[in-house]
Amino acid sequence: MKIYSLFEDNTCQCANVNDNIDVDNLHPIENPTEYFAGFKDKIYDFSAWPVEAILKILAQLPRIWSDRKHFVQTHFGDKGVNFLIPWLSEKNLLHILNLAFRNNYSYLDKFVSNSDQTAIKLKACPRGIVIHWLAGNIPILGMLSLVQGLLTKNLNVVKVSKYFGPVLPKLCESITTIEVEVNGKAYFGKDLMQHVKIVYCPPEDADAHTFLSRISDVRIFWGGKEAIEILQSYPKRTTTEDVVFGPKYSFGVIDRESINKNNADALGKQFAFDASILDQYGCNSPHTIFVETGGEISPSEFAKILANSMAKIAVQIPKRPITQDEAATILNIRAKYDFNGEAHYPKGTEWTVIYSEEEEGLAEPCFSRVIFVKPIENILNVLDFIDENKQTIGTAISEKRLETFAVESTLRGVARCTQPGRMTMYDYPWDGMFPMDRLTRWVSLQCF
Amino acid sequence: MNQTINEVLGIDPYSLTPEEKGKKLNPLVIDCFNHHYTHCEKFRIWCDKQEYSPNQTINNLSELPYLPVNAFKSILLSSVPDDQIVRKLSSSATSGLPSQIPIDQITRQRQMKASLLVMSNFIGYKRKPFFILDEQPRKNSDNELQARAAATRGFLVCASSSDYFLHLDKDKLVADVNKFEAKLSELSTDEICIFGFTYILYSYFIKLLKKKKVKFNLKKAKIVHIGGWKKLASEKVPPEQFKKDISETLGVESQNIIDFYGFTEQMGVLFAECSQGIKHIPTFAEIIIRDFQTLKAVSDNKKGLIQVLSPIPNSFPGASIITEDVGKIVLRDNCACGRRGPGFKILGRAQKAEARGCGDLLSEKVFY
Repeated sequence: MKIYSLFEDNTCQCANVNDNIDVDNLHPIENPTEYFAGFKDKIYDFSAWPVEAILKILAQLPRIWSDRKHFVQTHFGDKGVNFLIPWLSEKNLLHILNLAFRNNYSYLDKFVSNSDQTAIKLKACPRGIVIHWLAGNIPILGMLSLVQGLLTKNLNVVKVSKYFGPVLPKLCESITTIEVEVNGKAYFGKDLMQHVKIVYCPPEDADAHTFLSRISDVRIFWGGKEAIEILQSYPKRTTTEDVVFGPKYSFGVIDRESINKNNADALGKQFAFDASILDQYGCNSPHTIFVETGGEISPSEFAKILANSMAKIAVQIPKRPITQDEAATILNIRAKYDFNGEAHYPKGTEWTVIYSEEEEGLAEPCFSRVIFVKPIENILNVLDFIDENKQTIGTAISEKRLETFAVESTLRGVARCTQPGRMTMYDYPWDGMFPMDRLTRWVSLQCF
Repeated sequence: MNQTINEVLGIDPYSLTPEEKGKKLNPLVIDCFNHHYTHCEKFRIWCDKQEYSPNQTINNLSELPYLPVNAFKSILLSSVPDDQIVRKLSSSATSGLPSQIPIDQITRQRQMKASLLVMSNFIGYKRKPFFILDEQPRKNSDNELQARAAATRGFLVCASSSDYFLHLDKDKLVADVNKFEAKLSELSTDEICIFGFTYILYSYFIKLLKKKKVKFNLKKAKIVHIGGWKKLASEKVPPEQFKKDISETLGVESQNIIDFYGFTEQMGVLFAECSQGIKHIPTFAEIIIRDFQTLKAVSDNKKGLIQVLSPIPNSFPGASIITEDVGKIVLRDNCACGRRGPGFKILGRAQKAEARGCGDLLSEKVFY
């Protein structure tokens, strides 16, 4: 069993932050049992922190990271950091805390009376050790997950992926420099980070994963189906809670009433943004856009409009470098639809828009800014393609049809119907749940 | 044009300087490309989308559009009437869509000449008995074996005889070492060519010899293997160990173990690896390496997707094809092995491009 610590003494342990994790340059934790036993003891001190102090420390990050000369911007600007900045604002963190904790996040600090009708007080207690198993596709996922673990005063062990593994430890270094004051008392980011371990263990090291699974009180899984199935199979305690952010598919729907000559460019721009901001590696990124036939702008015309927008966005938000696999996939898909449909693309691999009338249903995701436009006679036909693995629908649907569409699509499994341009926002609730609620135990105190 | 291609196919494939080669080859590739533009409507439509016109001046082969290798999987592309097609080749043996490649007599002859040129240069001009380390194909062979057999056939142009030394036993390939020994005794020469797919040759024959502690002394034999390294690499068998184990078990000298690279959609164009570990580009082909991001040609020693150009295909638009394989040009001329012209190395293959079977083993790197 080998578990490598990537963050020690408030410092990232990876030599080259832009590389994948190289275990040859790391030392495994000598005695994991001892190492994590000591960690668990920190829960008592941490639970005494006011949530406001944690919130204020984390809310400093947008200011720090907005500096274009800051290390995080210069090194991870292309890895979705700018997506995190608004999400980490104090306003947003307060918003999601209130959504998760019945409009009163002080439940996290103390027993609070929840009703005038009863003498029972409630408190949201941290569950203990939260293990975050991260996917390799979006490095910033780690921060979304970790922040919620910290706000709920849990101890966090983040198991990063080999790919982009050094990103999270470097982001966390920023936290260690922060100092805030709450109720006259100073709180330090470096102390907050004592409640975080960032580790790596190779996927094939079943003993290491079993160890992490056994010490966990909550297991959060981000990733693909296969990886999650393997991770979930590791033994856990009966009281351990699982929170799964599995593979999901998102897409867009435009009805005939909602697209015309005046707004087609704007719609193209909004969907292009959704497909570009995370290079389609988010579960909330669209891969297919259905355009209802019979509107002022035909589906084929919209594909061209979308292509123009993809080209413009590619300049504003450059795509992260792609691998040989991604390049080959893009070339193959272009070749296929050059002969069997319409393919719009530049000379490089920056983006691709495919228009296809032949194949019904949702296009298989290619990622890396490859988006399909498909005609559909009636937007309600889309419902046939929806199951519990569909997450977000970017809806440009007229008011009179929107609610019916939302009721029907969510009933079939969709978690969010949102405006184009907002698909990749990390909204609350997410994947049908309030994640922070899942990281706490509701406990009660009956007062006399 | 045919006569000029035949000229190129009539000379030593590694005898020209880059300048000499460019002067001969480039116009042939462009002519071949334009031949397909004129005679294959689907290809012409595709070229038009790429904003290519046969009237434009091409100063460098990198300016020609390149058809992704998978294009042949989605559609049949033919530049000759159906009655001229003498054979249709299929590349895929297991999962994934098969490429459909129509071959006419002209293409077939060019391919045979081309592969004979390369093979002869590496294994000698005298025909040799071929010891094939694979199962003998049968009428009802599965797709996988049929594809391997098709690939093997392409190499038999240099064979004086051919024998197979593996057979299926309860769905598992088993080597017949006794038959191998008996055939050697019968021939009373070790001037033979042992042919096999890299993985099969090593896993089902060399490993067995090692296990049984059987050794041969085949100093004059040549080992020709195809199919790539992915599967052996996943079993942590590096090329050095592969060569060492073959040398130790068969007694073949390391420089006589030759790795060939090629693929169905550019049949006849073989790239053989010399003693310096460099795959040589013959006079009748060119390699361009393209950047993953921009798809522009990259400079030497930089890795990218491998584009193969050749004037050999007459019946299908395969004059300029981009593969899913990754490589880099490592040499422009004067290899220490004595061959002229450029050379490259293969660095790997795109992994997730399409669901595949044991593609590394056989299916995609199939010759004719």
